[in-house]
Amino acid sequence: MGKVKSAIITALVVAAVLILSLFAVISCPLNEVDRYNSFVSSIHMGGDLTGEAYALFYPEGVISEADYNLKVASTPDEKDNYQKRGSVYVENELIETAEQEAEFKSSVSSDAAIINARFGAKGYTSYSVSVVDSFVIRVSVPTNFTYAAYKELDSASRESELTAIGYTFNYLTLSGELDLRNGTDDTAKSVISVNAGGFATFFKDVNYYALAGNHYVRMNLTDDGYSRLSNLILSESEGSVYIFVGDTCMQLSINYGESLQSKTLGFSVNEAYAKDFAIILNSVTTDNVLANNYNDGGSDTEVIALTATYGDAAVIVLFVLLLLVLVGAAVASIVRYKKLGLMNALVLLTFAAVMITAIFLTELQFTVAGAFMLLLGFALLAFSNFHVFEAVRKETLTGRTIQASVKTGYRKCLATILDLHIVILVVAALVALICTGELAACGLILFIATVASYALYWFTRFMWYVVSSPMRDKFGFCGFKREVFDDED
Amino acid sequence: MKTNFKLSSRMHLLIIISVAVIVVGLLVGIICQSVANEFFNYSEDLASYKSVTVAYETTDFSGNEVEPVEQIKGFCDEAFKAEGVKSYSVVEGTTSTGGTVTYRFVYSTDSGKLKNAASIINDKIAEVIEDSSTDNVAMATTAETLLSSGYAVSMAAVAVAVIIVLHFVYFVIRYKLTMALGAILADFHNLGLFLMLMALTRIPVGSSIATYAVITVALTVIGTCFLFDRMRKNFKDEDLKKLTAYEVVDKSADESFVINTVMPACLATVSVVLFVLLSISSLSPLAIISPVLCSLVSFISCAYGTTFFVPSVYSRFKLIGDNMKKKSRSKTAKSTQK
Repeated sequence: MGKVKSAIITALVVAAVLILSLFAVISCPLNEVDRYNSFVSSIHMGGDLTGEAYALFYPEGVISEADYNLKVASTPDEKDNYQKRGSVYVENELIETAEQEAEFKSSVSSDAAIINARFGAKGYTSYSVSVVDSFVIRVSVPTNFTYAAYKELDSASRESELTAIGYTFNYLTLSGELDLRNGTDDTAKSVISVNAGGFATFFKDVNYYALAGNHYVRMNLTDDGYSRLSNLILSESEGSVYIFVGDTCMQLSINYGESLQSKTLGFSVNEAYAKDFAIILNSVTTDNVLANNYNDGGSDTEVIALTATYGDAAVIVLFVLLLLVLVGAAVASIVRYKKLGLMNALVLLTFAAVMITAIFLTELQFTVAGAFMLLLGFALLAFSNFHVFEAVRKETLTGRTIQASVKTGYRKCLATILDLHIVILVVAALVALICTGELAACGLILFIATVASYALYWFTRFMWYVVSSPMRDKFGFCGFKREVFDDED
Repeated sequence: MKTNFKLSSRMHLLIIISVAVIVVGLLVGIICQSVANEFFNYSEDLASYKSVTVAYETTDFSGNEVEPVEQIKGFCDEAFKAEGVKSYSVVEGTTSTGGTVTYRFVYSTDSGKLKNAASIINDKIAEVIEDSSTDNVAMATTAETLLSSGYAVSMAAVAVAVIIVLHFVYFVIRYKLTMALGAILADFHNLGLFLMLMALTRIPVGSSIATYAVITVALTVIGTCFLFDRMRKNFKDEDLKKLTAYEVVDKSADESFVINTVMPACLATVSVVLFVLLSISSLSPLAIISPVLCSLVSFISCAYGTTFFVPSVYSRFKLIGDNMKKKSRSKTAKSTQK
């Protein structure tokens, strides 16, 4: 390859990597209002790095001490209707006898278990459901904040995350059974006859899927449910019926007069709550109905954001450490392999930029465990390159030219590197597919890192060829010594 | 870097070390399981936990210009000390009108003591409130948290099992049966060693144990790839034909020593540095120490298992495999002669 061609390709690659790295890392204000948030500050973080959000769910008849003081204490008639239990006040009629109190506590506990299962299906990296003072349910989930949102540099993103959590809290704590009604408001009546055994019996299960950027809820009918629903919607020619959970309209409608094409009902739903709809509908169709109504149907739910478990500076600490690893590997590479090492440092920087971009684009939740998987991928690339460099060095010691040594070195290492990447790729895919929550995200990060590592391994060879082509002293370029005899190259 | 460990001749010693650690860890785990229903020292999010939360308003309720949260933390520390309970984690939060401080306790903590502590905290708060008409500025509550990390851990266990099976199958196809046996031995040994060391050392085990179990297997897979690749090449090398199987195994173990120790060592160093830095910024260093120890045990198990234990035992596998081959060859030769 000629000098000009080599210089152009090298300049283009370096420019591309540097620009990508700048976009990936540097955030800056654009004007007094707007701000550019880099990819790294727009990556969604787990609860360990940007904290968790929680909400308290009070069953009907139970109020907090604050509400009691504000709304009840000043009214003498109502004041006597409540008894204090720990930090909450409970209506007398719910706990008149010890058996009633035990039964009520047990119903709250079993509701907590159902809510726990619903939040489990959401696939959070971490979450918890607690029963506070035996009468209140507390649900905690990761805020899913980006660093910019966490530090309140991007208030819109912070608000949208908290709103999304609010939606999830409201939908996943809905009580009541599945129903089909003739309207969307409170006056709507059920169109399912009493002796039909409930609308939930029409369905096997409900699931969520996404296709080409659209999000769907798919309700799978049983054979009997299919025929009964077909008869029902063909009984009239105009109008619609709406799906309800308890008294909440899910805004999913079925039109009268349209025959069902298959044994599934598919609904296109907004991305923000499509998964929540599928989870709550699946829960109520499989008889997991809450015994109590919480927070007046969700209208009184307050979402509270907590600080990160590992402290406010956790994200910065993690980022600095990852940067130190990158710099350390780059310096070690340059010290040992001179200009080849510099080129390898560029490849390692490319890996970092590619991974930041990939995690940002895939909207994966990044946790400390995810950072370890990222490091594992980084180590894979660094060790693969060092392994092949050493193999090439060995070949040069036999008196071969650099080109011949590179060719033989890469050929000899191919089996090892390929085996290594295939095995890690399979491990990562299995972890991503089988595991849930944080580990699934870790598996996906490792999968992307392994693919990037293998692609960049060959990119290293390409760049080695491009950069070293115009060099006269190819041994000096690699920091190798010519041991046997001088070559014309 | 070349070593001269002669691992093949030290197989018995290495087996004794591994078996001793695994058996002692198992015994400690079984004893703890029978006494306290805790094979591991479950903590944090793996097992359910108890907590005391104090929610407060931002008002300077005592009138002495001390931040409410600082004063509340002081009350909490005194109350917990009085009741003889110790939290493992403290989390602060902000609300629209104030904030919360949550102290987490392991599930075996006496609920009565926590309720007493909560009422002591409430009494202390009531004592310092200047304006008696301003009540409800702060309130301590107790809670029992149900956690379902069990599902995540069981799915991780399924993933690890599938990975081990596929690791074996891949090595049977790409390498040799004896090497595949060596690989599966490495998986079981390293994973077993990791789990039993966790049981033995009573390091608090959170849901991160699943992550580190997966990392242990992943590092083992990487390590065995390097190790058996060296062996495959060395056994094919004409110059090394004159060496015995033991010598070739030792040579291969020497050649892959650096890569199989440096990678876990680098990760261990990163892990230690990360958690040292995090413990400075963290509200509760106790929450940090568990994952760092967990990761160190994982990396030590991998480095020891893949670098020392597996080559030594594999040398016997190789010998047995070669003997079986010889026997079958001589049988074939005899039957051909007949």
